[in-house]
Amino acid sequence: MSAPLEIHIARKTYRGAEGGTVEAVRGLDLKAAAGSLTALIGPSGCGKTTSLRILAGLDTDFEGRIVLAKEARVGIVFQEPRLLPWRTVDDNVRLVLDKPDLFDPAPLFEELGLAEMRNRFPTELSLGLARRVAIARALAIEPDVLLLDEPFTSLDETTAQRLRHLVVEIWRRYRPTTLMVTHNVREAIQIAERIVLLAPRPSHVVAEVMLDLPQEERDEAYVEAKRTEMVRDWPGLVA
Amino acid sequence: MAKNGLKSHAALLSAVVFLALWWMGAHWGNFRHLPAPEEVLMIMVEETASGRLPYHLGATLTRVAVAFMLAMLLGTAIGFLMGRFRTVNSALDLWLVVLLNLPALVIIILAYVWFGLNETAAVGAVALNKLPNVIVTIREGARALDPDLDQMAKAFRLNWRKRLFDVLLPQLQPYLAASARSGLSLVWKIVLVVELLGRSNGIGFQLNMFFQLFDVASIIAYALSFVAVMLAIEVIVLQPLELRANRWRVRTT
Repeated sequence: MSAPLEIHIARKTYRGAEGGTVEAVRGLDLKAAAGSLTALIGPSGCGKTTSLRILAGLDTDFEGRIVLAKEARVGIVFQEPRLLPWRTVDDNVRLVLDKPDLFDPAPLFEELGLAEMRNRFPTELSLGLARRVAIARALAIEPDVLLLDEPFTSLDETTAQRLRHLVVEIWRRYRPTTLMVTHNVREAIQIAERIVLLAPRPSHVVAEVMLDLPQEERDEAYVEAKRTEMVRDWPGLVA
Repeated sequence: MAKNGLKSHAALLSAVVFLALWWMGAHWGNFRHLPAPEEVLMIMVEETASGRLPYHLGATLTRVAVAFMLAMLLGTAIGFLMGRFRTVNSALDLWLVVLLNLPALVIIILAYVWFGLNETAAVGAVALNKLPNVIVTIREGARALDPDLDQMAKAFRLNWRKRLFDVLLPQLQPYLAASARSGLSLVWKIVLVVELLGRSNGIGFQLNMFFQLFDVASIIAYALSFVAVMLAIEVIVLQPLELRANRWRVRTT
């Protein structure tokens, strides 16, 4: 159910709009043990999303290598839900399955609070619900690796909080090796087992912070204390 | 539902008014070559009973269908490639402009001269006339494809069938519908010219004959029959298809 992964990006450059190149990543090395939950944080444009895209196989134009079992299934939740508007919730989830007929989505939908929404179209859903469908889609393939790209942005705080709990619960149950990109430090401290701090362009790993306390025991005081600590140690990187 | 009823009433009313005006014009007006509606109807009935109208209508419809399919299939493929790949676009753009601006008559005459007065030349010439319009429309559609959904398809390793039928074609659907709509009417108009110039059956051939006999009633009877068939295709096939394809465009606001 879960696979270890390594990512080594020696160099990743983008071509700028007016010619010239922008070096986005240089010497980024990251390992994630099977079944771990890692949060990647860093300032905007620091190559967090680039790293996820490379891991997901969406970007092959880089120097370096990815270590991930060939048969490993990768589920991805993009920043925007990216559902097919012309397919129902149910069909959106079935779409990504090799054998959709053998799959009973009811338990998954139940767990994500989508049971009533199965036959709706994505245009009828709120952003929070659409995000849930995107999460359901990523989980439906029983992923060995789960990649989350800022999955809680542009949500109201209550909805975001509920979804964060949901993600932790789901991670506990299915144990995919999870990599979550976020710019929200509090969120990372709430959810992750380990936080990886990335430097701005050209990006590389600056530090790793382990969080040993189980997620349900992390209260506001703990999150705030950790954050203060991190702001002190890495000013400019952590807001 | 009430709104729908009102709409169909309005359509019916406008048809009745048109027929009434036609009837009045034919009977009381001073037009030398305007046959009365009942005269035209009589001819339609006679021609249908004799089997001539169905025969020529069938010939024209077959040509329309084949030329339309050909133009849509080829045009969609070429337009898609031109919209997606810049090199293909720059290689073919010049020819597209040439084809767009080549009068239908020139293509038809050249096709008959080069390939002979046969069915292949006729249908091919019609398809070639419609082709550039399809290409232009679908190219716009291919340019407007959502790269985000493309990435999603790639990330989830969707097979080509799903990419085509679930991701690509639904995005192209409005463009396909637009070119099909304008295409069907354009194709049948060109088919008539092709028939008039070099075929021995079909509505166009008949119209030419009636023109030489100055039989205006028959000309109207044949033209109207074909328009009726196209109207039926629109109402029975195209509109329900479009309604089905657009089911998802509902918003709860």
